[in-house]
Amino acid sequence: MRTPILKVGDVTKTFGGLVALDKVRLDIQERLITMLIGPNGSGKTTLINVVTGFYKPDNGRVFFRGIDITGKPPHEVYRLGLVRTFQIPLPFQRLTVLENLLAAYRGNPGESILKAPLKMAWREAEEEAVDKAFEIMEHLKLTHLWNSRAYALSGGQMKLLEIGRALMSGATMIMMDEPIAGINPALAHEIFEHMQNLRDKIGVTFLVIEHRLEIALKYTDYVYALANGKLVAEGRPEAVMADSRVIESYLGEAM
Amino acid sequence: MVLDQLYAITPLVTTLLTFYSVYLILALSLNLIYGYCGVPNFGHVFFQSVGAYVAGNLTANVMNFMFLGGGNICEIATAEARRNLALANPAIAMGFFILSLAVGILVGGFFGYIASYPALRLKEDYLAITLIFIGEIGRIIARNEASIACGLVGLTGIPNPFIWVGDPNLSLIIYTIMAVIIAAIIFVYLQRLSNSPFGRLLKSVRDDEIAAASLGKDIAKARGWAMILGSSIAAVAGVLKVFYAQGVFADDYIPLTTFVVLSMVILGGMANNRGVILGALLITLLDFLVAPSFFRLIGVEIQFDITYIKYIITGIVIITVLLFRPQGIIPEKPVETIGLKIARQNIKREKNET
Repeated sequence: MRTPILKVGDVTKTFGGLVALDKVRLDIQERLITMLIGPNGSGKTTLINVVTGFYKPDNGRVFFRGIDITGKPPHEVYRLGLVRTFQIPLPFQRLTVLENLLAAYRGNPGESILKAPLKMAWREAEEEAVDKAFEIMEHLKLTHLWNSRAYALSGGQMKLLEIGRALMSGATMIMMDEPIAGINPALAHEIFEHMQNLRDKIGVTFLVIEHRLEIALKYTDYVYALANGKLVAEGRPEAVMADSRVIESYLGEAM
Repeated sequence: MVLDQLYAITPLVTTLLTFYSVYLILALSLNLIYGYCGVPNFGHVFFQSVGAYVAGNLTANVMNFMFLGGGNICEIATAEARRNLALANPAIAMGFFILSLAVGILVGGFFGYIASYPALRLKEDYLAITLIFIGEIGRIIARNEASIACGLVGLTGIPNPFIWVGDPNLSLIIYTIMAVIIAAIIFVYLQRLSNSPFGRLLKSVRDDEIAAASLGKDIAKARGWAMILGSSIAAVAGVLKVFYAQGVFADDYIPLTTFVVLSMVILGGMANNRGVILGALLITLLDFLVAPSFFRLIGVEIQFDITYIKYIITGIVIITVLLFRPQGIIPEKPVETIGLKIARQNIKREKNET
C-alpha cells in the first residue's frame, strides 16, 4: 500500500459527555475519491472540522503529506493545500466567475496596496492566474459562464465554482461536505463526473461526505462508514454497503 | 461690459468647481471604503473634518508662532496678520498649504486606522451607527473646544495659498484649477488601484468575508487599508475646503454632508469611479442650481427658503434611483486588469476556431 496523503490516527473528540469521534482512523490514498458515510450525527462533519483545524481533537493525530497538522489553525492547513468547501456555497456574489477564480489565486503581488497601481509588478502573476482560471473553467465546463456574475449561477454551478476556487488556490486535496445536497440528479451526476475528471487529469484527491448514496457510490473508489463516532466499516463501496453493521447503523438493529 | 459681468460671477464659478472637486474627492474615497470594500462608513465627513482641523490649526498656530510672535489664533487681529503675511510671502503662503496637505493625509490616515478597529468587529448596521457617532463626537468636541478651531466662532485667516497674486479673483481661479487637478490625480490613482488584484481583493471581502478568509485572505488588513487610504483622501478634501473658504467652521462637518456624498455614490454607481464622477456632478449642480445665490444671479426673487426644496429633490432622486436602478446610473463593472483583456482574447480566439 502507498503512503496515504491524509492520515487520521485514532482521533477522539468529545463535546462534554458526548463522544463525537471515538478513536477514528482513516488512511486516505492520493488521487482517489473517498467517501465518508454514516447516518446524521455519526461524526462526519466533526471529523472534517478536526482535520481542517476548525476543531482541536482531544486525542490522536492528523498528518497531511507526512506533516503533523493536528490542531493547526484553518489558514495554515489551507496553505498546505488541503481545502474544504462548505455545505452552502459561498461565492463572491457580485464578481464574475472569472473574478471569483482570480480572487482565489495565491500570492498575486497585485493584492499589495503599494504594488497595485504599478501594473508591471503584477502583470505576470495576473497572466498566469488567467491561464490557470481558464484551464480550470475548461475542466468544470464553466467557460461559457466566464463573464457571468456569481449570483446569476444555479446552485449546481455555484458548487462547481467552489471546487474551481479550491483548485485555483492550489488545493491538492479537497474535502467536500455534501456537494450534491439539493442538486437535481442530472447535475449531481455531472458534479461527480467532474470530480472523477479532476482526479484522473490533475490528480486531485477528494474526501466527500454525502447522503445520496445512490448517486455518489458509483463514482467512489473507497468508503469509510461511521456510526456513533466509531468507524464501523471500510473498503470498496459494494463491500461496505453489504456490511451488516453499516445497514444496521442506517436502519436500526435487527430484532 | 461682458468682461465685467464675467468678473462678477467668477467667485460663483470657482466656488462651484472647487466644491465639485471637494465633493468628488469625498465621494471617490467613500466609494473605495463602501462601494469596493463594503464598510458602511457613514461617518466619512469626520475624516474630511480631520483634514480641515489639521489645515486650520497647523497653519494658524505655526504661522503665529514662527512669524508673528505668538498670539491667540482666534483673534481677528492675528487672522488679519496671517493674511498680510501670506500676501507678502508667496513661499510661506504655498508652503503652509503643502505642509497642511501632507500632515492632513497622515493624520487622516491615522484616524482611519483607529476607526478600522470597530470596522473589524461590528456588522453592517451597528458599524454604520458607530461611525456616524464617531464623526458627531468629533464635531461636538471641535465646536466646544476653542483650541481646535475656535469653537462656534470658527477659525479664520487661513490664507489662500495664491493670495499674493494680488487680484482676489485670479487667486481663486488658480486655486480652483489646482483643486480640479488634485481631484483628477486622485481619480486616476484610485482608478488604477481599484482595477488591480487589490480592487478584486476588496470586492471579495465585501461580497463574502468567510469565503475570502477560507481562501487565505487577510480580511483585517484589506479593510484596514481601505479605511486608512479612504480617510487620508477624505482629509485632502478637508484641506482643500479650508484654504478655499479661508477658514474652518466645525458645524460645516455635520452628518448630512456624509449622506450628500453617499447619495453621489449611490446615484452614480457603487464600486464604479466613473459613475461617481457623474453622481457628484449631478448632486453638486443640484446644490448649485437650487440655491438662493443662483436665483439672485438670474434675477428671480424667491419668497421662501429654497434650501428645503433641495433636500426634498435630493431625497426623491435617491428613492427613485434605489427603486428603479439600485446599481446606479453607471453600474459596477468587472475589475479591468490585463487579465480581463487576455480573457476576452481567449474567448474570441476560441470562437474563431469553432
